[in-house]
Amino acid sequence: MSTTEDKTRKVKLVTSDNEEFEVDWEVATRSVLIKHMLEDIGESEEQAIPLPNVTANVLKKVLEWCEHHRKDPEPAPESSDDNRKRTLEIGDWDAKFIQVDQEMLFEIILAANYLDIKALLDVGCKTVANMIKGKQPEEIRKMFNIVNDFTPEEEAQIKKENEWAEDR
Amino acid sequence: MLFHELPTEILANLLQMLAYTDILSCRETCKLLRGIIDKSVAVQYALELGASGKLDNLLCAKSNADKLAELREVNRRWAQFRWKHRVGPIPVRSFASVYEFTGGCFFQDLNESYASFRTSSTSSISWLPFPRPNSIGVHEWGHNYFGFRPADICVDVNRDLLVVIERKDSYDGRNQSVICTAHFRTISTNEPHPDALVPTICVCTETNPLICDHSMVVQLGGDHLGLLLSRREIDYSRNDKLHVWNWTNNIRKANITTESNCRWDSFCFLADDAILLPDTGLEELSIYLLTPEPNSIRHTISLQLPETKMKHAIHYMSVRCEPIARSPTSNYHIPTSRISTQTSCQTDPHAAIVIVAMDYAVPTEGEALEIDDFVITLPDPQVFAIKRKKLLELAKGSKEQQSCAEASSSQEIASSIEVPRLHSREWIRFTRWGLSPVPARWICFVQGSRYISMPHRPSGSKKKMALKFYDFNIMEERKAECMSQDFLPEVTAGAQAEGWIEDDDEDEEVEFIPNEVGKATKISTPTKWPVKSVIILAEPLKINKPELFKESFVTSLSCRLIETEAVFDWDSVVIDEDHVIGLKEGHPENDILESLDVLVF
Repeated sequence: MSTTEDKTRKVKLVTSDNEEFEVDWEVATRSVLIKHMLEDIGESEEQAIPLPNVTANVLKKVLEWCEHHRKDPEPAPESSDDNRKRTLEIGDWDAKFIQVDQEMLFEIILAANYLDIKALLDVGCKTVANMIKGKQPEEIRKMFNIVNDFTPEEEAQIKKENEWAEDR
Repeated sequence: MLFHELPTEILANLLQMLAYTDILSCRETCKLLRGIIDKSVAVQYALELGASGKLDNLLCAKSNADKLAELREVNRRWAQFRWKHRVGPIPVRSFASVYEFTGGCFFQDLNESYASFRTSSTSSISWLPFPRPNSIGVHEWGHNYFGFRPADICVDVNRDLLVVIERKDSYDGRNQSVICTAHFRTISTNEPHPDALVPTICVCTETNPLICDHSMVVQLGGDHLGLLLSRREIDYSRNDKLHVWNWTNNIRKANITTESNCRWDSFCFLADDAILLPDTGLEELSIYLLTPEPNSIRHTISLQLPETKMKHAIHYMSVRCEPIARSPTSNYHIPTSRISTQTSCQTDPHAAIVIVAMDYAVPTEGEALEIDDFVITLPDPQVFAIKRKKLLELAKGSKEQQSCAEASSSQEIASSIEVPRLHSREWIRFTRWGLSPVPARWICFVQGSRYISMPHRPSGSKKKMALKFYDFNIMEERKAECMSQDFLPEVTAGAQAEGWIEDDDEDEEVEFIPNEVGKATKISTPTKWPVKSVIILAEPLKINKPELFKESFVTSLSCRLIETEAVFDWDSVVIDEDHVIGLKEGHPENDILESLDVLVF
């Protein structure tokens, strides 16, 4: 398929709650999953792509991200993996974009994972990692509504196990 | 949707982005997270590398499992102290007065005109990559030629950077003057370094009586070059001077001079923008921070040393730490066929230690010398290890306070802000420093969280020396003590003293095959370290020495101390990840060659 064709080509996506989105090919193929599906069905077909794991309000948000990042170069393969993980810094636009409630944040992470959009998954994970950074266990529980399911004995044991790093 | 409803693989992906301390906090929150952390190989890897003070080398393409295996292997080798190969001696040309060991390379200057008794010739820097553990072979010397005699050199192998200091002393009958110029070259091609805005910077020009007969300390901290000119003798009519330049944009960052009673003997970079400058006169550790603006150096904090009962003032104070490990951001490499310095794990600069060594003075006039059988007994020097990270935290914390104070009073004059002074009892506890009094004058070298030291050998002496290794990276023992077996099954508690004493037969002296100048020979027979004793100091140490300190204090930088028998005829010793390198100096009178012993684990 030629690149000129790709630029004008539209892709139809259908969410789990049966809402239909029509987006540019370039935007939709930020998702490796959609890209592969498009390759599978062939370019001639004007078939809508079903996304049974994503709801409309989440897909809207994800497509907003894809639209802004449509011109980004393809992420480098595995070699840059460590580099990516080393820093928890997030770009300005992404930081604003990801200022959503926790519910939506986790939905975006889940959708990015399902749709295979590595860069967006990273933004989401880094945001959560930044929330955890420097917090005490009790603060983390409170933030994410995690129930402490340890018995007092187990808790003491874990504290003891972590003692070697008491220089935190 | 809730946090803990995210799929396991996403949670694991997210957790490995965290610092190991945060991973451990998550491990304390609930069973689900504990399970993920304990079961995910990748998170375990992040945890162990982080806890060992190691970072990934970004250029390393190895798999996580391989990296972890390598880290464990390095730690195992250091714990067990058996070397696999001894390479050398590699003859070093004599008349070298300046040398540097770093990043798996030995650099030395060589004044050809001096060596060959020719009148007009050039000087050169010669360098030799040390053999790597798995590729023992003959390595060739590399040479970089200059039209001047180097006064000192400084290198950053990761950036392929060689800084050569040219010092011109002149005397016109009335005034003495000194001009120091720094030349920035690439090691591999000997061309002006691409990152340097200009290939040479005139770092300082000084005239009598300020600066003559000063010794020089040169350090690189990322984009910063520091040059300290320090008095050789206590002479209050002179000063010590520190010059700092950003060599990538040619901006002068500092030109500061000691005030009365202050004395600077040594300095090191704690980070690209932080300098530790001990003040021998005031007996303090001063930390200075830099910002991108010109002349922006700022004294942010002074840490007072513990008060001792020493009768004598500190005569000389030196600080040492590993040069700042820069993550290589671009492709500055010396071709790997020539130097291979890329190991998979590099030391986290913030987890590394800083060594502070204090020599006490020969009693000054008016004081009686203590004479035992005509030998003057000097007070034992003290050596301290401090975590670099904690020093930085203290400095940066105090900087924030200062800027708050500045904002409120809206005063522009930086000098009017008093530099906070912390008494030792306020900071020693939480900077967790290790302490070890060492006898006589010792030479030490730091690599990450390990350091090695040996006694100073009088010039020309044939005395054999013992070595002391201090390893502050002993996470394995701590883990083995504190964690259940199924948490980290591969880390065995057995990596301990028993392994070091086994099979004490064949205590063979290593013999060297006579070799050509410039060629290395190898002896591939595995050889043991002549280990004398191993002490593991895993518990917080209570330093309570009424004979030494006025107040007792607690230090808890745990370490492993290994002492060897006196079998090394070296004059100085350095370490890196895989090597112990001993340098034997030639005797100045009979013109013998110097030699290097390279011991590879």
